[in-house]
Amino acid sequence: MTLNKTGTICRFVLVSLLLLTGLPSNVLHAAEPLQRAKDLSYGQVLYAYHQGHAFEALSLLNVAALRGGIKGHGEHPRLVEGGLLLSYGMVQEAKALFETILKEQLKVDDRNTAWFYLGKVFYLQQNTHDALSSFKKINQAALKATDPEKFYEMLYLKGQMSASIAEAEATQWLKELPSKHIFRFYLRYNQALGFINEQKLSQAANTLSQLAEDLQARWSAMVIDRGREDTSPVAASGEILVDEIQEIRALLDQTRLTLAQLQLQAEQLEAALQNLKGIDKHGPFAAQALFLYSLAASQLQRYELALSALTDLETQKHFNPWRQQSPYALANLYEQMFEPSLAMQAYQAAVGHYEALQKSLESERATMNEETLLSALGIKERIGQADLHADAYGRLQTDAGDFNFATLLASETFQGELSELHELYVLQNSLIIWAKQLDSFELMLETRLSARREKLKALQVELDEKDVSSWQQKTAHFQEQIEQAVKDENPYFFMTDEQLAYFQRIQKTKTRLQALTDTHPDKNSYITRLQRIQAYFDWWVADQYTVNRWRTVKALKQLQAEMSDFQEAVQGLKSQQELDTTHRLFSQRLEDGRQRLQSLQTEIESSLSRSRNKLLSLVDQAMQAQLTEVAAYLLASREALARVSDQILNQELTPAPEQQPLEEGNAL
Amino acid sequence: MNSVTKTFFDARALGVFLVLLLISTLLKAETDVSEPQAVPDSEVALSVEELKKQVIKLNRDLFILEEDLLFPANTQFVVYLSVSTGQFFALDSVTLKVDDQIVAAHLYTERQLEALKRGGMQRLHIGNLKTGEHEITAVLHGIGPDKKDYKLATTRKINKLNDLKALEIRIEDQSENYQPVINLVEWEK
Repeated sequence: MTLNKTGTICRFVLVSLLLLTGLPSNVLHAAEPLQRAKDLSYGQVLYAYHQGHAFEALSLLNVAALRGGIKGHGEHPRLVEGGLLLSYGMVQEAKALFETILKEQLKVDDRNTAWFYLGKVFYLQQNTHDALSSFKKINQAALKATDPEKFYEMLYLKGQMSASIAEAEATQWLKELPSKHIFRFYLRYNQALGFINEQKLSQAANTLSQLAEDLQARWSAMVIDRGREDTSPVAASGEILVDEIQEIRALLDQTRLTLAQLQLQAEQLEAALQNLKGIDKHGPFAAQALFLYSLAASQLQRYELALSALTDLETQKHFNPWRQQSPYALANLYEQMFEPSLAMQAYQAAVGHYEALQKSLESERATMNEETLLSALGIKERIGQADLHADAYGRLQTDAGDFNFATLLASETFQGELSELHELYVLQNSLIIWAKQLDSFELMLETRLSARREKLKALQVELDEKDVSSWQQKTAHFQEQIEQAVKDENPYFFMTDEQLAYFQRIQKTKTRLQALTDTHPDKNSYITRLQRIQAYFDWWVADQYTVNRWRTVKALKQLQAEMSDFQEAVQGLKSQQELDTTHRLFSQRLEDGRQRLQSLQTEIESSLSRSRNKLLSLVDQAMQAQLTEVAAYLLASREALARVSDQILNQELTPAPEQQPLEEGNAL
Repeated sequence: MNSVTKTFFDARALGVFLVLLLISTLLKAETDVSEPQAVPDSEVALSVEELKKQVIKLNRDLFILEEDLLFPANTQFVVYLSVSTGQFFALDSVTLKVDDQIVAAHLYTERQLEALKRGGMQRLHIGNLKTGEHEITAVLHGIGPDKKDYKLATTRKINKLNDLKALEIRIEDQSENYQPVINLVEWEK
């Protein structure tokens, strides 16, 4: 939440900005018991979620959805996603998601959570009717039992939305909040504002007075518990965290300030002084309090107090719109003190101050652009970078050295536009990183493709050398012959080398025998011997047939195994070629990614331009308003200077009253 | 009333008028501020939401593309880390070794530890492993149950097949002996 011009902290804005920042909502945790993740993807999501990295967590949820969803956690992942969408400022998406979830069968706690978040979305959209309607659908008793903080927040939001804070129902909601709960304090403050709105000023003053007492007691108790006042909690990442003790203190100061303003209006000046005195001099309301204090003191004619307050105000840092009014106020004070010389000098100084301020504002306005604006806010180098954090109220951590921007920075609209600009730059920077990543992926693919092609070439050469096809043919031929021989049970096919040699010798012998004449005396004995040899040989081959056949088949199988390796190498070659298809698919995905990237870059540029213009327009309007205000103070100072100068001149010109001569009869 | 007095009266009247004008302006502004500030429903805001949606989708696709390209499913090896309540061991850092080579080391911030305690799982390492047996060693440093420096280590042999292997380093509290223990759990993915 920002402190606006009047310095009011509105809890609504605090809560809404908490929703819109990257801080994880602590309300989901209570509904989700701390238990081990049953799905690794969901575990990763929770890791990012609990660190407040909404974008990363949402991306991981999307990845999980594409890969089959998250198992074992029911509706919790979707509820977490809804909370993340709200944190990341995607209110419409969150609304659509919760509406979808609520159409399904849910457990009571999940249903309560979904209605609660949907109610919050409507609340942020100022759709009071639907927000209240959503909250009505919550099982209040169940919510109070399982998640009391969420229940209290709901009461607070209902209280915010009620048409009149003084309504009986709103009062009932107020009473259901624990007395020391911060939401209750905020509602009581807003109740007082409601009374002011209805011109019930004394009721407002009583409410604020009681509230201030209670806040003081609460704050004092918290300080005692903690042992110190200033906590300034800062996370390791450099992000400033919400501290309830500081929040209570700020609300206390705000309450006192508002009460003092009412008292000033009612001319209860002493009471106003006391209240203003109690405001923290180092707090966000110090400047405003000092100014009002000086006004109250001057009206009580306690000029030394007024002077002291204005002097303190003068020493405040530049980042302070109240300081702008102090030169005129100081001169006016001197005038009230009947110190015309001092008043004249002070008015002269005020005129000089406002003239210089006017020139400076006009010059700044003429040269204002995005760069000068961001430089003035001290975030020119960090905009769009991860190290530019938002504080717990959603404000970017700026380092404005120029108080001219103080009013702007306090405005919710400006803060919102500045945050939008920052987010657009973050998106733009992400796209630049991804574009480089895609370049490196492309290079990787090219390198892989080149290496693969080299490998394929080498493999092809190797296979060519081995003359794979002719070996494949031979193997097939062998197989055919062997299968035929087995079928025919031809033992001679499976003869061993030794048997083959004998076979050839027998054949040769037969041939020689045939060549012998019939008259040869030993031919008959030779024939008989050959027949005996043939018979023995036949028996031998038949006897060895089974073994020989087994050996041949075994050899064939070995040959086939070797050929299978050859086949695999050939297939490998083919599958390597098929990888080109995979490469093509990767290339296609890269190209798709690149096109989408370019399209998004164009859209972001366009949005950046619009956001930039809107921001500069706000700055211009604010500067114009400041110029108008400065002109008014300048005119008033000049007129006052003329008036006081005339007074002094008249005093100097007016002769001192003459001493009347004593009459003769009246002489002493 | 002489002219001097009148002039001073006018000056005071002017001052009082300015004060009252200021106060009434402030009070009015406070009342106005009590009205809820809407979520900006501008053209820019809607288009930014749509942009974010598209950017998230693109991030998702690039995340998957990167995994598919750099860590194909048949060689992918992922290691996660989780913590139970962290009652007996306050984690400070972790070192992961695969086959005696350091592949990951991490020093934890408060925010990361809190996220782990709330049930988050850190993806400590993603890489590629050949099929076969590998030795995984996890060494953790932190503060132990006696509030002194504490070191926990565990080793496990895994058999990498031709599919994705996921391992979880699980830091648990043993209430029986008030000691922390780490387990390496293999996940079926």
